Amino acid sequence: MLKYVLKRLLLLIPVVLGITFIIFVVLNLAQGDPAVMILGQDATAEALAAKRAELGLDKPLVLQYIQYILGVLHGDFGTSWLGGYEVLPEFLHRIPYTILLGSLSMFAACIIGIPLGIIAAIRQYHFIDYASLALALVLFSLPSFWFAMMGQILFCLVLNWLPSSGVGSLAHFVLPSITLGANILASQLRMTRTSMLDVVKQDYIRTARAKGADERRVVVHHVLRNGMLPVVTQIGISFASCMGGSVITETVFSIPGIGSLLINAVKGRDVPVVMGTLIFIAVFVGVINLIVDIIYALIDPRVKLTA
Amino acid sequence: MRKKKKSPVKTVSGRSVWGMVWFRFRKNKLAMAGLFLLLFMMAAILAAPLYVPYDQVVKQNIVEKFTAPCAQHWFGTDQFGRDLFARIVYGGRISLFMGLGVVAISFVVGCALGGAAGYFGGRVDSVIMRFVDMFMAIPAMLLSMAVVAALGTGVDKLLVALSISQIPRFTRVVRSSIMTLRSQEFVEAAKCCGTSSARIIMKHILPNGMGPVIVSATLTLGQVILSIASLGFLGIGVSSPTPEWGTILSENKIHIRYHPYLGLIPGVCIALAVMAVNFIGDGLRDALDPRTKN
Amino acid sequence: MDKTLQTAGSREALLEIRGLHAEYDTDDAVVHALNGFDLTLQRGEKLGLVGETGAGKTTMALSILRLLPPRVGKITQGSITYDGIDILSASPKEMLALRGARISMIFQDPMTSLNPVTTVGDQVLEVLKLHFPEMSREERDARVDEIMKMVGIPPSRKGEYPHQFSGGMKQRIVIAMALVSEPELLLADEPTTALDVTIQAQILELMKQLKEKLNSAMVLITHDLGVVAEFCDTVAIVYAGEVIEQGSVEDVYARKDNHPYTTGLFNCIPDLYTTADRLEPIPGFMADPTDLPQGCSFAPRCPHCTQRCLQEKPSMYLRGNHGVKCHRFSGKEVK
Repeated sequence: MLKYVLKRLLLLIPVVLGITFIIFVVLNLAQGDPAVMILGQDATAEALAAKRAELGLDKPLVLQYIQYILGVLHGDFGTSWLGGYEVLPEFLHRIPYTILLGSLSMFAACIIGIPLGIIAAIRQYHFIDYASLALALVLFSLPSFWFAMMGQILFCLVLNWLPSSGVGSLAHFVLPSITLGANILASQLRMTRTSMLDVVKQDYIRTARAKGADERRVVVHHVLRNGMLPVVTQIGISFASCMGGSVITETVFSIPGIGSLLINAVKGRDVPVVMGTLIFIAVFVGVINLIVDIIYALIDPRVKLTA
Repeated sequence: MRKKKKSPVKTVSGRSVWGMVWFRFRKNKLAMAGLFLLLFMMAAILAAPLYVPYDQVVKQNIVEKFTAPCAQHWFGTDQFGRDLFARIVYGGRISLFMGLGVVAISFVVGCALGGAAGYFGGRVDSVIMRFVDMFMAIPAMLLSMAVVAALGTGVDKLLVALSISQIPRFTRVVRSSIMTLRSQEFVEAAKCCGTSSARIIMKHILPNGMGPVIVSATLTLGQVILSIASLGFLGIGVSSPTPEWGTILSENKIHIRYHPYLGLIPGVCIALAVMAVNFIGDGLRDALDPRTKN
Repeated sequence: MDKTLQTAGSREALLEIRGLHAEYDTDDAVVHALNGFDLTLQRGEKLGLVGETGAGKTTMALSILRLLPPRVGKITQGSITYDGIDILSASPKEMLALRGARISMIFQDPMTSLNPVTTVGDQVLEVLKLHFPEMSREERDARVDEIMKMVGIPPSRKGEYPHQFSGGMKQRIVIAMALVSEPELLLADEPTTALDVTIQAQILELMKQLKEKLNSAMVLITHDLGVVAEFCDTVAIVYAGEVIEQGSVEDVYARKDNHPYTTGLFNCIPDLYTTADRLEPIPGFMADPTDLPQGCSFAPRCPHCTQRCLQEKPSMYLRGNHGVKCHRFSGKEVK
């Protein structure tokens, strides 16, 4: 088990290095002179040259990348070109907000989406099945930023029930979590329903019925235990899309998390911040996937974690 | 229950595989509604120059600003008095057709990469899949943002950025579809008959393996339309004054509270387009794999 | 062997199926799986149910347990009486008490019949938990161990999961599950079809041993006439959803006065003692269950087909206990 975890973490390293290297190269090839960006158009040639040397921009790209990664390994993620702040402390300050938002939305999406999916599957072709499917469809098709914006106007500005932006209290997170979780809820619901219906058709469910198990026991002991397996995988995938969606939610609700940091960095082509954010997210997603695989192996006896 | 599988084949015999898919698809009311809605939207958008002159899109008319929907301005006007209907109809060119473009590019590239990986296996497979793993390490939305950061904004760059983020997924779907088929008996049988690789791919593997890929392409189209709108809304998609549904929402966001139609109409347009695409995707999935029903 | 037949009149039958019609409603057509299926089974009788794939054998077994796939399969006519209970109007609760306790079923494919995430021991134990709540935990465990030993699986392996067993071993577990409650009726649906030949022989051998030990009645569904000869007291031949010939194994295997279809089946079996250059297949295909002929369903393939066969459905002509649904035997009944 430990060996498996270590191996998976080691395998994560080349993946993260690879993707960050590609992005690093593309970011550096495509844009104008960062020194001009930082110092402005009026800066003297000497000042620009000095800045370039300071940033290491006069060296070949590969060397720059190696230098950057070595820095990262020592906990130095560089300094923002735009804001002049150090990337790592800024990160540590912002991460809790993003994680809180992500966890709340995942939690809300799962505790609503999965039971609804189960009920929809059990009551297939019943009113509640159609209603759940319609809900999933609408939530799946609505742009989350639009949902967020309309929710903000209705609940915060018109009805005045919730704070509209910022992070003062838990109430500030209610609407952001709902809007970020909506899409995930829809996919959890559909996944759960499909998976349950798929299991119901299996021969071993017929075997359970032939044994004399009542409907309740068939569902709880036989359908659920098998039907939940793909849902666990789906939760892992949702975490990744949750990280993507948080950019939008954080922007709409002015939450100072990683997402809003990234969007500003992207707009300003702030390479150190973009790089740092992507490394963080790639590692985070990798670790979540690892945890999901471990959980999967624990609940499915057919899967063995082999290092 | 074995009998069940026999009869449909018999009753619809004489049809090709795709004829049968269409036969089942046509019976699905939601899917057909989605198809008609999407075709209608596409026709309305393509034919726009016939009934709305392009200058309506950018012509400002401060006197008429914030006109609620009326006979003259079906969807009302925005803060600069621009006609929202014209902006939506011309905006659809980007929102909808760029979505199709992204899916087409990722479909072709994904099929080529996934097909090579799945069919040849071995080293080709591991090299391609390592790259796919790398790109899959970052959520699609963030990956396209990173590419936008590198390339800058604009229609062409957005197309590239979004395609890059979708290619890995297509590659995976195509590869796994081909891997399952490759070892199946009818492919083995074709090999035993001395059929060439190219013919096996074209005649046996592609027609049978395309099902899941096409379903995935349809469902991806919905997600891409949402992504285009989201990037537009964040201000890193297509920039103003070029109309695009997400950008339209972003421009108007501070006025929506007092002029709700500015928010509702573009939002509903996006949702309808995505919904139509999803209906089609679900319908296709059921038509391709009749076992998922019942 | 004739004992069961002789005593038939003296007591009530264990299972009596009369005029059963069942159909599957698919998207494209209605499949008529059972079309007036009649069957009588005495206590302790071992009956072989023989027919081609798609003849309605499995549908019949599932109908007895009322386990036809919901919404798709339904019984439209007829009656099933099990030990005085009218199965088709029994309450769900009554059905639960029958399934697994008094009637057990062995399914065709052991690969898919076991729950993949539950240990095999627990799956056998489940039957006891459901039907013998008064048993103590120790008694139950002892019973599970006993039955596992009986089917040839070391009880030490009961903590393992189905994927850790081979196909033959899985079928042994399925059999253990079916027998652990000592049912009065065992429905064995082609228990060896999904296995390879050597394993088939082992499972058949096991079932033969068990047959001696248990006195439950059994319906052995198969398309192998040889297996029936070895196992069963009586045999029923099924074609297009109805029993077209029935009788004791001796009567039917005498190969006189058979239904033309049964004759066709016998002609398909290679014989070790006579030389035949080629086997004689039955011409044509099984009747299309979505579009059955008006008269005898075998008429289109029958070498003795007459005008009457095409128009009128034959009834069962009895000679003693041997019955044949064929117009050729009309007027030749013997009581």
